[in-house]
Amino acid sequence: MTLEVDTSQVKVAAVERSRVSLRSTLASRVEVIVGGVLVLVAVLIAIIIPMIDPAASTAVGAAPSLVPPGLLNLLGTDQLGRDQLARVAVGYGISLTIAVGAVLLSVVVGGLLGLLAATATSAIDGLIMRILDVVMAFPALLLAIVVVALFGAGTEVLMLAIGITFVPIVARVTRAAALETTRQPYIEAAMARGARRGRVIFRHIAPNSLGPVVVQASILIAIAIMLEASLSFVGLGVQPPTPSLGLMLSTGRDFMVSDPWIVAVPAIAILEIVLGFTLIGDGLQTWLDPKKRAIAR
Amino acid sequence: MILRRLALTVPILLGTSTIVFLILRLVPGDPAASILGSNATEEAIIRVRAELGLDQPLWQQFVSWLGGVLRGDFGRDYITNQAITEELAARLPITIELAGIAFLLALATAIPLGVVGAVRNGGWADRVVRAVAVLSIAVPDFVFGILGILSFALALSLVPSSGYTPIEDGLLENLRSLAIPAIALSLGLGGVLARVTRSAMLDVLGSDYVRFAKASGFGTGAIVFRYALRNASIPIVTVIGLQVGYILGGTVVVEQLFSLPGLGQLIVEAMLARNYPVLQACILVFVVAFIFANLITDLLYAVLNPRLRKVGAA
Amino acid sequence: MTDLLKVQALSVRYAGALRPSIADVSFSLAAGEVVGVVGESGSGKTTLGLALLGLLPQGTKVHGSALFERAEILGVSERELRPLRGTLLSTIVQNPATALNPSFSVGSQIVALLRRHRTLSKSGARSLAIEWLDRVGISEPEKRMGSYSHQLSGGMNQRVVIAMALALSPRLVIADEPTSALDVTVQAAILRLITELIDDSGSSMVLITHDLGVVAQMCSRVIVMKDGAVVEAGEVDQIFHAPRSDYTQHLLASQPSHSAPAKPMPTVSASEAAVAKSTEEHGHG
Repeated sequence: MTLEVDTSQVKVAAVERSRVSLRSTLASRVEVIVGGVLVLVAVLIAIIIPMIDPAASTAVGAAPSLVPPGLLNLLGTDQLGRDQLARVAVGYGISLTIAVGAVLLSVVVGGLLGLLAATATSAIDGLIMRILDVVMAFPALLLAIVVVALFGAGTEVLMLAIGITFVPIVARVTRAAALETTRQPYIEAAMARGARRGRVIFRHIAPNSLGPVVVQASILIAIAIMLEASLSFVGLGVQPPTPSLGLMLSTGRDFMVSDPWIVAVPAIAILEIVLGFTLIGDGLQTWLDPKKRAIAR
Repeated sequence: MILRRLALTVPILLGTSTIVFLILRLVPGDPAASILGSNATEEAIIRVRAELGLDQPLWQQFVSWLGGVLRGDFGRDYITNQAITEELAARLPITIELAGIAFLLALATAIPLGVVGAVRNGGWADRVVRAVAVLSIAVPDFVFGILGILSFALALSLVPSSGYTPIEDGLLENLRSLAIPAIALSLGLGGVLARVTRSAMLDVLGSDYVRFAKASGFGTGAIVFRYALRNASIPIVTVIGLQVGYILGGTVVVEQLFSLPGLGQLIVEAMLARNYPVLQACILVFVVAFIFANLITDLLYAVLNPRLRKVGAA
Repeated sequence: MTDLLKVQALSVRYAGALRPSIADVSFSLAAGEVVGVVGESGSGKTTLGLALLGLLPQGTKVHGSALFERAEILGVSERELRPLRGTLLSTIVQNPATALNPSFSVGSQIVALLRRHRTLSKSGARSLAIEWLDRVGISEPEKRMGSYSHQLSGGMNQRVVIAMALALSPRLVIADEPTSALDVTVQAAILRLITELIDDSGSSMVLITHDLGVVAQMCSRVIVMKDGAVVEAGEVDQIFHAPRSDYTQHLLASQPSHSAPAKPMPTVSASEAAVAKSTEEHGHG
């Protein structure tokens, strides 16, 4: 009897899938573009506004306090008469610095750990995974608080704190991708040719494993911004007088009743940049591989 | 298999409690000195250190602390000298109520929405579900909280803008004081749940066994709810476990924003006052809760997925 | 004699496809007949089966007519099809492991099917299900009721599917490559089982396959399909001994074990059958 694969079934599935992915590819590209625009706006604000008037964000009494948005102060002023737009700009800069720094840190450390776990002995793999399990047993915000408790508040500490919370996620993604890559025949072929392990790892396994991580990076930045804002909001993050969006929200609360803009402005500012990165990450994920689901939030 | 999972929990509990314990021991500054203040004498400091057991070797301190915790004794608050356990007991119910409502709210809205999105895949309902889900994920809980206060509390006066009303003072008032905080807290979990439900259902609805069920004459309703949802619940349950952590962490911010006297707020107060024993105790409680939540979801996962059970019936 | 199934000018084009998968196919089927639909991959035979069962994806363009007991079954709503499905019109699939829900025991799926279409108590349905498991040749049927599809071998899963397809005495069974995904040692037994049950119940069957050997064994009439069209149709003897179309001759020639189709099929002796059955039942979990 002939052994034949009935490819008509496969064709049905392929037709359906191509129909779905055409529509979702378009939607995901729109997502990435919209997200990109939002992020670009935030980045431009962060870069350009402070160049116009570097002192505006801390200039107490430069204008009457609690002025709603208007021609003189595009986003209004806060309770000390400081221009909100200037403060948002600096806040964006700090949030972006911390978030990108944290994600970079976690990608480097997590990526190395993941690669190590995937390519070393199973004993080392087990050890690394157990340690990661312990780290993952802490809710993200609480772990960050623990780090802040140990090292004090401040921009660098925040970068470290948030970076640490991301390491297990990045490590897991890298490890899974690396494990899959090591199973590929061309890796076996390379090893059989006598290629040195280290070379194999860095030239073949590493690049393939980082692919999924890069896709995650945008969403991780969004989460990092949220974590930083949350910590600053409760007073455990960036310290005054450095402006931070979370801090602006928290100090503005006392004046919310008389001037809602004092909290609406930072709230919408945070929303804008987080939404931007989330859309980019989301769109990238659907675009590059509709099958994969988000691992981080 | 279940036993193995339970056994794994123990080292994780040990590891996390070690880290939590180390907070107190690694922070800069001498606890005794900070209690006594700057005018303390050398002998007073030594005396207080002995009282607090700080002169013992580190591992011994850890063991006695752990022993105390297992007995329910978290030590004493540095500042008020109250038994920490009492403070925790007073605040815990509030956080449990808040987190519990948020959790149930997320489940009750996100799962049906996800199912609708999958069943009406490609239609306008699906697009709405996906858009709402993305927004829920992207809007930080305290941003929603503030916008909620501005609109529902201040503008519309539907709910109080802050503060907690205990149940004894009226159930309706109690729920009103928790309404916006709970919704804000539920957003993150809800958004992710809606998406996972939708994609899991889409997978299942496109499967061979659903097609076979259709060919066997089962109706859409029965297929979707009784049959397919059961298969989709496996990835859903997995995600819930991970997201519970965000709800637990979120209580810190939300309680602070709405002045709810729960554990989350206590963490912030303790941090700002350098009240490390209290901080330790609170974090330990949250971490243990998270570990057990994950344990439960892992066990549920084994129950729902017959492939993971011990090979018996055959 | 009124035809049980009468297909006229059936055309199917998938959404987004450039050409139709099936073009202008017509045939009919009388009660009790087994008709084979033969072709290579891409001939449209599977699409034909899906069209008759109403399982084509949304957006597929279907033209033509298929009258089942004189009622149109093409292009009608799910609600109208439902009374037929499972009861009068059933299917045996190519891949039985994926046709059974991995989260439910096979027993509960049979019971659910029985109770959906007949008023039976839970225990009544359960005993009927056990009876059927026995009838399709599953040993220790009561124990197997609680098994899951991943615990059973491919052959056993297919027996479960066959039980579900035939338990409600359908008039017409659409079988799409029922043995292609199974071990060679098991294929003969499964085919024998299907033949036996079909004969017993007097059902008709549309047997879709790429294997002419199977057709020779089980069918009275054959339709040969190529690229979505019917190339030749007729009685089995005529097709095998005096094929009219070049394509049919080509198909016959390329079947390795059928250079002389007039010879009877090699039979499996009783002991070999027992070995095959035991491999089937203990080969898995």
